[in-house]
Amino acid sequence: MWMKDKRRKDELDDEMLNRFSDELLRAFEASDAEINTAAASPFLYRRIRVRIEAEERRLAEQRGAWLTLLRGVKHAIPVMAMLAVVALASLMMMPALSHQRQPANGGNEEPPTLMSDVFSFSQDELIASAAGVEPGQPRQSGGTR
Amino acid sequence: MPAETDAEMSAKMLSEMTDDELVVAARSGDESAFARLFDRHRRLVSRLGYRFFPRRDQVEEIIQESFIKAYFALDDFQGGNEKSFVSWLARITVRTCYDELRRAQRRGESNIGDLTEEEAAYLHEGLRDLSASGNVEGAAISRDLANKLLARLRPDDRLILALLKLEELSIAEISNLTGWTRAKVKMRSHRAQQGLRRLLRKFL
Repeated sequence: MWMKDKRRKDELDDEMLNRFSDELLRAFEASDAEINTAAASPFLYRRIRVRIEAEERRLAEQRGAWLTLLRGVKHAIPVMAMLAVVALASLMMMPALSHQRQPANGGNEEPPTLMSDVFSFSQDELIASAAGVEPGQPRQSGGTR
Repeated sequence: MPAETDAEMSAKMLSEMTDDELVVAARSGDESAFARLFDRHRRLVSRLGYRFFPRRDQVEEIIQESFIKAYFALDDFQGGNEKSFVSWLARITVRTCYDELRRAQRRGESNIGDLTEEEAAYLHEGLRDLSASGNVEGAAISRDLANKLLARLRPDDRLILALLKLEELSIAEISNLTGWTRAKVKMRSHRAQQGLRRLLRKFL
């Protein structure tokens, strides 16, 4: 019963508030005189034209900037293409050149290493140094009599 | 009878041209054709602008913005029937108003929705009296107060309410103007009315 009453009150409230909302919206409405005054505002069309022309100029400048960029790209394309051809050609020539160089060196040359002269011992030198003998000297032996 | 000058003849011709013909002429660079379109329809744009904005400078800005958008979109206009230019321009104007409402909300201009203590008290008294008497029609709501209350609504709620209650458009027409589906318009109109009721209930 109490819920029913409350619902009916809410519905009444809603209806009243809807009507009040309509009044509120109507209060916001402008008069014909105001509408006409704004529409007939002096220089309104002139201001629109000025803004249209400014926008057209801006668009033309933007288009111009793009064209300049495209023109730059157009000049750069042949140069880039030529560089690419040269790079490709030199890449293809590399193996042929290294092939030509190989027989001249006999093909047995070891790649140079750092400090190669310091560490390049022969087997005899290594044994001699381990035995504490100068290479080429006869070895002292405590041998049999 | 004095001979008509070229300018007079041209003006007469323009006034006899239909909107579609004027659009074709404007597209080909005839400035006076676009000026003629502006003359014919500026009142419509002004009326739509006043549905959402209370100040003359705001409405003048809407008129300018709408006609500039229309000028740059002339190529998109397809024409076909008598009313098509009007509905096309109305669509542009409504879209411009909606964008401006959203921009104003982002800029925080909805703060103008803050009521003074006197206004809140007036509203409370008024609503209580109305609740008792049920006579809503006698409500004396100032435009400023209405603006402050409406500024508290979301831009899409405000758009729907203005088109539905002030322009008295149907759901289908609103859907056509806004580009929203009919279901969306229905749902939003329901939500907008609920939002306004909720807003008013705070003052009861």
